[in-house]
Amino acid sequence: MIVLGIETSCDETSVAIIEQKENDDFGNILAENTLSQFKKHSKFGGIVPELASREHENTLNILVKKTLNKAKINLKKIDAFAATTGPGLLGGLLIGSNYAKTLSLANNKPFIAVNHLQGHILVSRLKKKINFPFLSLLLSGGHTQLLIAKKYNKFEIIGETLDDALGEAFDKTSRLLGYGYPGGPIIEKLALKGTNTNFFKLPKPLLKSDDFNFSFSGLKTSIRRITEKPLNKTLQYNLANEFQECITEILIAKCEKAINLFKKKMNLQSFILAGGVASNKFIRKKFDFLCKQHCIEFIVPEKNLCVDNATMIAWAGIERLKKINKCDSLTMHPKPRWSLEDL
Amino acid sequence: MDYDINISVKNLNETKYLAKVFSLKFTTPLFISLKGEIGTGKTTFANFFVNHLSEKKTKVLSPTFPIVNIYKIKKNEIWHYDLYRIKDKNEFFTLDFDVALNHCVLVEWPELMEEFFPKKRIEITFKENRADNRNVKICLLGFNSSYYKEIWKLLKKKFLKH
Repeated sequence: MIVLGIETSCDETSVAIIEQKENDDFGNILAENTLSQFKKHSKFGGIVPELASREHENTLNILVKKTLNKAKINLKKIDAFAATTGPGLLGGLLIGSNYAKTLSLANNKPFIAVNHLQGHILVSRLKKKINFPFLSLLLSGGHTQLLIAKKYNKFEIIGETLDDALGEAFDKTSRLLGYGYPGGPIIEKLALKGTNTNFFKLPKPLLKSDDFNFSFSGLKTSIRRITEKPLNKTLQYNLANEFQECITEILIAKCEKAINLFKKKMNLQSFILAGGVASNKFIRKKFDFLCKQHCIEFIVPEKNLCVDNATMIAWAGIERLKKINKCDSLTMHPKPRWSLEDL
Repeated sequence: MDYDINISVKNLNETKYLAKVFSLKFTTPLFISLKGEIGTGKTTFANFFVNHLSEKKTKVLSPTFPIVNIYKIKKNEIWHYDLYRIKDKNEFFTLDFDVALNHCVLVEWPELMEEFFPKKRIEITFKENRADNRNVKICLLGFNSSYYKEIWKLLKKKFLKH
C-alpha cells in the first residue's frame, strides 16, 4: 500500500510518500519534502497567517511533484491520499485538505482525514513495533498533553496544560531574553552555557498537585519579572538553563507519577515522547533516564520526525486503512480544534 | 463618550468578579481589548469571562499559538484572539474579524491593529503592582453614561471598600 500525505497545519508545508508492503508491520519512506516558512516569517518576527496559507498554496503543487519524482512513481500508483484536517490554522488546513481531496477525486482513490496530534504519536510505530496501550507525552507549540494510547484511534488524555503550551513557554522566554522565534532551539543552546540552576528560584507550578495537569503561565510571569532588569550574558545563560531544568523537572514528575500509577494496572511497556519540543536533547536525555529507572521502553522519533512533517500524516493514514478500509467524505470540513479524544 | 475607571485587583477572586461584571452586562456585538505585559492576567480574565457565560465548565487555553479560539455559548460565540505572533497590521483582514465582529471579541495584544477596531469598545489594561496585586484600568470607549453608571455601580460594590 502506498499513501501520499500532506501536512499544512502551521508553518511547514510537507509532502511524503510512504509504502507499506504486505505482511510487513513497518513503513518505508519513499520520499519526503518539507519546506519551513520560519525563514520567511522570521523576517516579520512571528507568524503571518495569510502569508502562511499563501505560501502553502504556492509551494504545495511543486512539493507534490518533487516528492513523486524523488519516489520515482506516478500518481496512479498511490493507493490513498491523506491530509491533516486539524487541529491547526484554518487557512492552511483548507489548502492541504482540498488539495488531497482533489487528488483523491481525480484518481478515484480514498481520501483520509488525519488528526495532526495522532500523527505525532503514531509516527514512532513507523519503524518499530510498539504495542498498545502505551503512555505518551506530546509537547509542541500548541499542545502539552499526557495520554494513554489504547488503540491507533483511541486515546485517553490524563493530563494537559491548563494555560500555555510548552512550546509557547519556550517562545516567550526566548522573546523576553531578547532572542528570536522559534524559541525552543535558542533556549536549548543558551542553556548549554549556563552553570547555575538554582539562582533565580523559578516557581514549579503544579509540581506537587495530585493530577497530571501542567501550567506554564506563572513561570512565564516570573521570567518576565526577572527580565525587567537587563541581564548580562552569564545571567541569560543561567536563566535559560534554569528554565529548561525547571520545566523538565515538572514534566518528569508528572510522567513518573503516571508510570507508577498505570504501568502495572494497564500493562504499559513503552513511553513515547512526541511533538516538536521532543527534539530538545536535554529533555530527551532526562526521559531516557527516567524510563530506564522504571524499566519501561523509551521511544522518541528522530528530530525530523518530531517537528511537523507529512511522513507522520501518511503513516497515520496507513494505520487507519489497515484497520478499517473506510475513507472520509470529500465534504468533511477541517477542524481547527480537534481533540484526540474525538477521533 | 469615553470613561476611565481605575481599580486595584488584589487576587484571583477579584479578577473573577471583574470578569463577572462584564459578563452580567453581556450583549453582542461586544469588543474587549485586553492589554498588559506577559503574565499579567489577560488570559486569566478571558478564562473567567467565558466560564461565567458558558453553561458547562469550559477550558480556555492561551490563544497565542492558534491565534484565535472560538467558544460557543448559548446562542452566541466568543472569539478569543491573540495578536502576539502577528507583525503586519493588514493581517486584520485575513483573520475573520468580519465574522467575529457580529459576536463577542476578546483580543490580547491588540495594539498592532487598534486602528481597525470598533470605536465602541472596552479596553482593560492590567499592570502588575506586586505578586498577585494588579492595577487595572478600564476604558469604556464610545459608551453612553447609563452603561458607565451601571458598570461603575457593580465595580464599586467590590473594589472601593479597600
